[in-house]
Amino acid sequence: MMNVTQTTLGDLTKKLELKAKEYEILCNKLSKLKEKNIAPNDERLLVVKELFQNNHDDISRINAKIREIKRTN
Amino acid sequence: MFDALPFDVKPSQDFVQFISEQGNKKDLPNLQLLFNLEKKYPKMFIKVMLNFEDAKSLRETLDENGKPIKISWEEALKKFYKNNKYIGITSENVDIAKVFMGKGLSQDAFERAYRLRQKAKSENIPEHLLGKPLGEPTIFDSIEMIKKQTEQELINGKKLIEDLDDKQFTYEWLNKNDPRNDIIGLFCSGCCTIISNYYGKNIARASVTAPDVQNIVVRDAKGNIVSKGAMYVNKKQGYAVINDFELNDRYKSHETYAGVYDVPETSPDEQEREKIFEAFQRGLRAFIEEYDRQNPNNPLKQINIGMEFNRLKKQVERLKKASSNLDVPREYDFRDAITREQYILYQRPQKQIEDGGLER
Repeated sequence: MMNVTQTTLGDLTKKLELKAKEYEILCNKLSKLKEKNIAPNDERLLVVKELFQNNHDDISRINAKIREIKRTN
Repeated sequence: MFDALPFDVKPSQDFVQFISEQGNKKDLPNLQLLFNLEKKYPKMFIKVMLNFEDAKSLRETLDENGKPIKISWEEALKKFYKNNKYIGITSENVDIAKVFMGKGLSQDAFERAYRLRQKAKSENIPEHLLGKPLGEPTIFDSIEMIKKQTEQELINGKKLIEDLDDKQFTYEWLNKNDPRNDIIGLFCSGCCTIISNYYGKNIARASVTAPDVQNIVVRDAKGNIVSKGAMYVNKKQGYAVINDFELNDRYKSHETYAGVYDVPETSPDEQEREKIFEAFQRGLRAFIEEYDRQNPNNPLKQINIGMEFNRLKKQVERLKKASSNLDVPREYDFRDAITREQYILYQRPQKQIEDGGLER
């Protein structure tokens, strides 16, 4: 039987994988915008920036939880 | 036009063939094309001559619908010229080329700017008066910064998970003075205790008193011993034999007495067995490395393992079966290794055996 730690770690691993995929999608979106020669300070980029920021914060939170598991193990 | 031709550069065979190609009227249409283009695009000839392969490659392209097409030489050469306006573009001046090209500046202007940069560099002129850049990032810049941080976080996360995965099970070559050797069977339910009525008592005894036997154990995340193997090392002949891999009772719910079991590979039990086996492999690698370092003239050539009652049979059976068993002194009673076939856990590459060891 898997213990609680392993189950939590499994969940966090899956969440991290999903966030990594989301990051890839955002990068593709950004590349497409670059191809359109969008100005570096175009307001539309603020939405993209927010998406990148949220993605980053989520990943940081997941990592913090993994660190906590590592610390208590 | 020919004033600018460098005499020390030999044109490629392809380029010579290109300009010498004869037309229907026995003229040289490609050469003529280059002469004509040179009028509107200065130094076209020399650029194409020096980078003919690049210019030629631009003929193969895609149309608006993404369909592969082949464009005319004239179109390809113009396209090439547009992308390579200057001669002498290197990684040190490609940024100058890009900016100057955008402004339609001449080769001379490009060269002068590059010379100025070289002069400043040779005199160690700092790039900023304050020694560091100051400026407001654009939204693009700030996205790039977040991207870098995210990439680092993803690397960190992956590493943390790998560390935790590895640390679920850790190996240890158990100190021969450790009292757990005497009763190791109580941790990994086998018969290996010095008070046993079975042959395991001899193995337990050897793991304490024999100079050439030691237990390798695998612990779970909480530090409990969950698996073990007793290894005999024949130093003279450079080989070792592990009796078998024993497992804690908690892994044996699916097993028969003889260790036969059938659980799906994806089941948590089986996955843990895999990780325990990986921990043994790490332990063996560490042992071999240290042994060979201490015995450079007679390194370990082979390590076998017995299969009778081996609780990691499925994992071991993926390895090669030994054509003949390696011997273990009778008094150690490694019956699981002696009575049935052995499998090879490690075999030194033949070349290294012939050469008498690794080069150090």
